Amino acid sequence: MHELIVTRLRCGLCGAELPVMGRAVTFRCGTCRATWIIAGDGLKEIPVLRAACAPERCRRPLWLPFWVIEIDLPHLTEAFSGLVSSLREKQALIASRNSTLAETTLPPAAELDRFLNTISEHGTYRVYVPAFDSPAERARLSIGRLMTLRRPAASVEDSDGSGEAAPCVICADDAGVLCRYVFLSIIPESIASCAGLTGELDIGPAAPPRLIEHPFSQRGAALECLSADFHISARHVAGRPAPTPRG
Amino acid sequence: MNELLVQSEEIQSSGRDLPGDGGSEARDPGRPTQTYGVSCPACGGSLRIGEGDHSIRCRYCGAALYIAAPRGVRAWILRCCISSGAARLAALRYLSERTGGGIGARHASIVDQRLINVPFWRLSGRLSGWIGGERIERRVVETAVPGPNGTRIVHRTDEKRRPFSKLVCKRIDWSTPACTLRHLGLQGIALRMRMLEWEAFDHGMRETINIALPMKTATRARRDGNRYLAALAVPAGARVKASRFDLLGEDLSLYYFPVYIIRYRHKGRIHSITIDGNDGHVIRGDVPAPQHAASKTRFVVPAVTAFLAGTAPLLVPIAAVLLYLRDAVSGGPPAPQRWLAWRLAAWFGGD
Repeated sequence: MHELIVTRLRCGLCGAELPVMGRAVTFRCGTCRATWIIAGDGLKEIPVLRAACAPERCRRPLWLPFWVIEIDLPHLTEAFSGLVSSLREKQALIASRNSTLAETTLPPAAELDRFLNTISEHGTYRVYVPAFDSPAERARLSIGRLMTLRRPAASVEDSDGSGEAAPCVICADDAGVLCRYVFLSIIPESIASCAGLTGELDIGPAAPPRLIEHPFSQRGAALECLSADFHISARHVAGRPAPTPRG
Repeated sequence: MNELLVQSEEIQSSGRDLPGDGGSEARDPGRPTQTYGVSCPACGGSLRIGEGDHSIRCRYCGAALYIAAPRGVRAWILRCCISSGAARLAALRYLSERTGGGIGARHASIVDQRLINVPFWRLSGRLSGWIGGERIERRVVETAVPGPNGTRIVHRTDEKRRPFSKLVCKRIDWSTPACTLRHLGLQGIALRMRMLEWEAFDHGMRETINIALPMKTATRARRDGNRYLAALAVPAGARVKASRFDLLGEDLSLYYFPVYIIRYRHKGRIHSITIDGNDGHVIRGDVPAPQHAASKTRFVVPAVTAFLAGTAPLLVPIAAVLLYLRDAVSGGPPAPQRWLAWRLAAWFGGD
């Protein structure tokens, strides 16, 4: 039996009607500026933050939403070392029984240490999951990877909803799942290709995900991220057709 | 009248709507639309909700509405647009075309025609996953080996295994028949689900229309779908050691698609044709193979008959009775008075 719940879309604070946004899961009240997200059977208020941006750089930017998930680093380090030691034991056991079967299934220890040092050097590590609608699902991982590797400044401020902002189409639960794959995309290939290690790896978030809008500026067919200095193709953001070349 | 009222009320929205989205009237025609059997909580009007939409505006009262996470399995049905006469005509035309005019309405008598709504499972969503394993590369190496009779070439297969990992992230749309349809010729209708307008299936409809019952459970359909999609992501020549997949925004629904099953008799045999109940095209059809007498039969049957008649004339009717009984057991011949003509046609061909 199927159950579909359709409810009036109204702001829970002021009672004003919220704008219809199609595929988007967040709604911003035009009257009291509160932002609501679909959570389970109802709407839940969430704070939407904006990455701090110098006013001289941010002239009429496009704000793209990202779910920012802070990784539980002690848990991750523990998980890595636990998996590595268990794999080493297995490898030693296989080698003792039949030396020809011993496979090099583990990445070099130095590589692992370097990776763990890189992600824990600032005390926290944030994974960015693009929350805007994209015609190419694969681009979501690539953009999330770029943003995560670039580590934009952590300073944020409350969003006043001004300017052009892309709607958020990914709910927080889905962002938690996608976070795992964005994280896997930043792992160096020598570690990621070790199936026994990466397949078992479980990353835990240290805090609930936060929705942060980052400024992008259109430069020809590309969108330049003003907070992390990288470019993405404008085609990867739904509703942003790339400008046709001149001539 | 209602349609006119909508437009005046839509202007009274206090918020800022996303351009080109959500408004039921200004919907992009290329975007899949589905008709849900859900009423507007404000006016009771029937709502039309596009696939993947989380918020809509009622086209009757203009109220802004949102859709909470749906639970359970939804069922849809496509109304049949083809009359039984049109389906019959399409079947006869198909027969005539496939046999070069050899079989027409005179030669094929339609014995049975049924409109059946055939169930399909459809699984859609955003697949995210990771695969890790080994990519196996094999190549044949030719080596020159000196021997007592000169140098000879020895072929050896070298196998190189390289660890690999791959991330998968794509939208998927997969469908499978929910019941056994071997003779109907339907494989999947995922694309049609996006292009056509479907109505919510009401279980009360079972009393008025023919429904084929789904034999595959939702759990099995989901498992089959996940297995198929995971296998699709594996690169060729690779051995997967570990993998993990998540289907975000998963939607598993049951779709009933109308088909006409037309059975006709030609030369005593029953054949069937399946007609699409939506656009009237032939999905699959049995066309009787033209009967040509084998050269062996052409010689053996007269020879045996002549031998029996020459030896003892009574043996001929006895052999005929035995042959009739054998035909009766194997496939059901026509009435005894027409059996001899049918049997001769089967041996020597011709209409």
